[in-house]
Amino acid sequence: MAVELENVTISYGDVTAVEGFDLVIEEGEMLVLLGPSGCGKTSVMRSIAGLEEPTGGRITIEGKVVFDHAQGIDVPVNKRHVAMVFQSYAIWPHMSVEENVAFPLKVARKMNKAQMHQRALEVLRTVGLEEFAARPASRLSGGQMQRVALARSIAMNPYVMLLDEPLSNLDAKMRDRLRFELKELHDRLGITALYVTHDLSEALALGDRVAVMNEGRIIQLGTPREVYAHPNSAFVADFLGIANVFPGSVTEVRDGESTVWLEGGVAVRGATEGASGDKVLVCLPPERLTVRRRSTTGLVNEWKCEVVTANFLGAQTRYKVRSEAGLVLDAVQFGRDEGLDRGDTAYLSVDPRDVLTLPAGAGA
Amino acid sequence: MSTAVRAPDLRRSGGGGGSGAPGARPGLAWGRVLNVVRRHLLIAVLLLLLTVLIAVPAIAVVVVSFTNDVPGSGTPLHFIWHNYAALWSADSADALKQSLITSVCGSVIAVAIGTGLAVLAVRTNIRGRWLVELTGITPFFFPPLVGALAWGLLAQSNAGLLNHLFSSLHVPVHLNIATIPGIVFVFGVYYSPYAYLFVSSALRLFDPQLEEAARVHGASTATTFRNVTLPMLSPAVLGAGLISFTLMMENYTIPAMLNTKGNINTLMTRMYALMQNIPSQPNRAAAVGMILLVVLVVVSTIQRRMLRGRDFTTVTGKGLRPRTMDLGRFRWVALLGVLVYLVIAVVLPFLAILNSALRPYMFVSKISDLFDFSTLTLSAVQQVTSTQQFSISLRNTLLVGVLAAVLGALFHYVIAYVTTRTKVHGRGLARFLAIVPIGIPALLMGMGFLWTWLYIPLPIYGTIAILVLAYIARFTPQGFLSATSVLGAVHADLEDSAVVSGASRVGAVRAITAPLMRGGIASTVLLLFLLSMRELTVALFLFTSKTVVFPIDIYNLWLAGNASAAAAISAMYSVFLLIVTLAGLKWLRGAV
Repeated sequence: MAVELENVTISYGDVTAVEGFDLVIEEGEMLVLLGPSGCGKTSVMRSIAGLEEPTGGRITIEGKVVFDHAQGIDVPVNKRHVAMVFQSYAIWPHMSVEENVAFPLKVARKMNKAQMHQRALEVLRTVGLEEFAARPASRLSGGQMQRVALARSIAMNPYVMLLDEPLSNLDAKMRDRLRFELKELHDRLGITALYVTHDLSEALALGDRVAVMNEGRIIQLGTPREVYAHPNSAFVADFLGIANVFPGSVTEVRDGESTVWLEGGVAVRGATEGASGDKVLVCLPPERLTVRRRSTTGLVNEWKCEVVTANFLGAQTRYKVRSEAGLVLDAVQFGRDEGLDRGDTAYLSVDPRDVLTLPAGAGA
Repeated sequence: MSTAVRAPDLRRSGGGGGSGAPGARPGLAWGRVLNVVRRHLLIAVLLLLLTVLIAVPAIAVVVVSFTNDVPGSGTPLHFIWHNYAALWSADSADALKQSLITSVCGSVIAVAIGTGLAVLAVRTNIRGRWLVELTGITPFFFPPLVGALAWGLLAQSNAGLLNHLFSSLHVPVHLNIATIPGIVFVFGVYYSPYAYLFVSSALRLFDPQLEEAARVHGASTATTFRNVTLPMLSPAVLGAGLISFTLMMENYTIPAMLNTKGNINTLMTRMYALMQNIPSQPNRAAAVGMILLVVLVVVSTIQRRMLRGRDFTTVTGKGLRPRTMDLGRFRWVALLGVLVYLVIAVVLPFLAILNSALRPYMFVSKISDLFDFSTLTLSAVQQVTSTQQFSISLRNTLLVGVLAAVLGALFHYVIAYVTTRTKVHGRGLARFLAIVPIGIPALLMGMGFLWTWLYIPLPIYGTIAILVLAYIARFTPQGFLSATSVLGAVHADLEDSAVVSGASRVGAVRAITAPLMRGGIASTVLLLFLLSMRELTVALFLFTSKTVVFPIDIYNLWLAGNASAAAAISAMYSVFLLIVTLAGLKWLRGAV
């Protein structure tokens, strides 16, 4: 493992941002810390870099203890050999692009000028900025600056690369493009990386593993597909943008299928484990729902609804519908538009295998 | 594709693996102790310096105001109330009243002038905008000392040049500058740049969309100005008013220079008299100073409260140029008004000084003599510059100015860095001590320095060094605030990313932060240099015949009745300040 955090606590005065935090980043993986602002994800990252001093615990990088509160170890930032890509780019405007990239090589003092020049150009080539090497760094666009910041980090060949919401200052188009490039770059170079973001699509697209954080703790850790398919709590489901979460209780369990009664008086069949009488949260992922003009005979989970709003978006149509029992649900239909409009009657259905049940009260 | 970039390994050399940082011993936690010591060394040094430079002199004055003698006098000190009893005299009440009247009225005038010029320069299409901008900041190179001297020459009751002019033209006006209105007038004119700078920068940062929104929703230009622009400016205007008030309350120079006969007493002139009269009554002087201290502490507390709100009102950082108001045919009238003001504030005074410097006699007897150019002579100038005193003063002034500016800026930047970029304990106290001198009158600070350094066994008293230290202490708020704003413009990430890249903290400051602040540092140094070059009051109790600086020279010559010599030095001195100011104008704009 490249980085290990054990029982790390970070406090500011009386406020505890992170408490008893454990995390392992494996060699060569990109691990994403995903969470709302103020959840402590940036504090964790800055503690690994050494820019912040935790109030407890131990941090190990490549087998070397860089921080241990009990033993009084705190290796200075510049001796930890980590790289960091900042949200604000942190590109030095008084230097050229090449000087920016070569800076870590220069302060390491292990290369001569020619080697540094060659290395800087090589890295700039990997981010597609070779021809900008001589340009003053202040005369670059946001996207280019962030690529220079990436190149600067790659150049030092760090134990771990820390990325602090690197795309959030870019406009939407550039963000999409750079996200793609980042993924490709990481697959190619295999650098160990920790990526901090509050953006769901970045987390899912880039992470080998995703750790969803809230209030200083990891709520769920797994591959993006695992986490998305099986959120372990209402918080994770909500943060992953999964709408339609309703409280209910299990009334019947038979052949691996259960029936859950929702509070509005609706029965949902799903693949719940658990026993009759359990309080649960039922989650109906909007993109798994089917909205039809006509009823289909023989479906177990089908409800008659009224369309409240329909947003036709071209490749997809988003609906808000109200069931006869008064449940309001979001639904997304891809590529199939039945021309439903406000006030129309529709039939909403969901395959029991797509129904998620979460333990009530878990998470935050 | 196997284009993976392989690099010569920059990673840890030698030893590798294994745990344990240098100095770390399991169990004993020496590493942590060392870390704590190392991390707090700088703040400890800073707090020590701030204490010696600012806290101790201030406390010394408080102590002296409650004791029977001064420290270092040999008499055993004990606590008495008696010094304060003397404050209940009619003299003291009168001094407080006159201080308040001159400062309040002076502030109103200064704010009116500064705000008016700022609005004209930034928000209207007045003719000759650059001239208006220059007028706004003119008194920067025309210090209060010189302004007061010039108006002494122009409007003295018996021999003022303007009085000669009026009587020869049979205009029934008789000016007397040695009156309360006279002091108010000079205060108002020479302290107006603060209001100008505050208001014009607020106006420049003003988001024009706020006004456009009002216009779109049906407000006329005038209504918009009254209901949107003015309220948004009020923090800047009030802040400027309070700063002007503070500076006037603690100003000794202007009342002392204008009122040579001593029939108008402010708290400051009274304090000075108590110190210098024979027998000297330093304890009572300190007690008088305490009243002023109380007033200023109250005002600067209010001021800080109000300025705290300054951010949200105007700054959007968009840097859009606000829409300018069309003055129509008043474009020229407005410019004419500005020119009249410029003549009153700068041109006339400067001509008066030149006239006195170049005439063999002090005052003219009739107005026609003014236009008799045959009597112009450089003899006074030659006489003044050929003395040994002049070369001593010249050397001292430049030396003190440069040292106070360079060492002061270094000191202030380190304070700013530690208080804004680190989280060490004690930074709040450091910030507080750095701001405190705003509320301490210069004369009081000089007294505090006198007593402090008579007591501290370092051979500094009576040298240039004590002047340099006093100036650094006196201008710590200005230097510190300027440094803080310059530092604030350089994002902390820029430096952090250098440290993450492997540079040491000091190396990162040298390679990244300092080069990025070069222009800002220059502006701070220049600001401190100009402030130190102009300063008279703080040096009044600290100078000796060997450590005289120009402001002291001018003051002494004027009080000794040698107007020609005072004017000759003033003329050269203000031309020098003018040149420095103009040369550094682009930096100064960023500094204030």
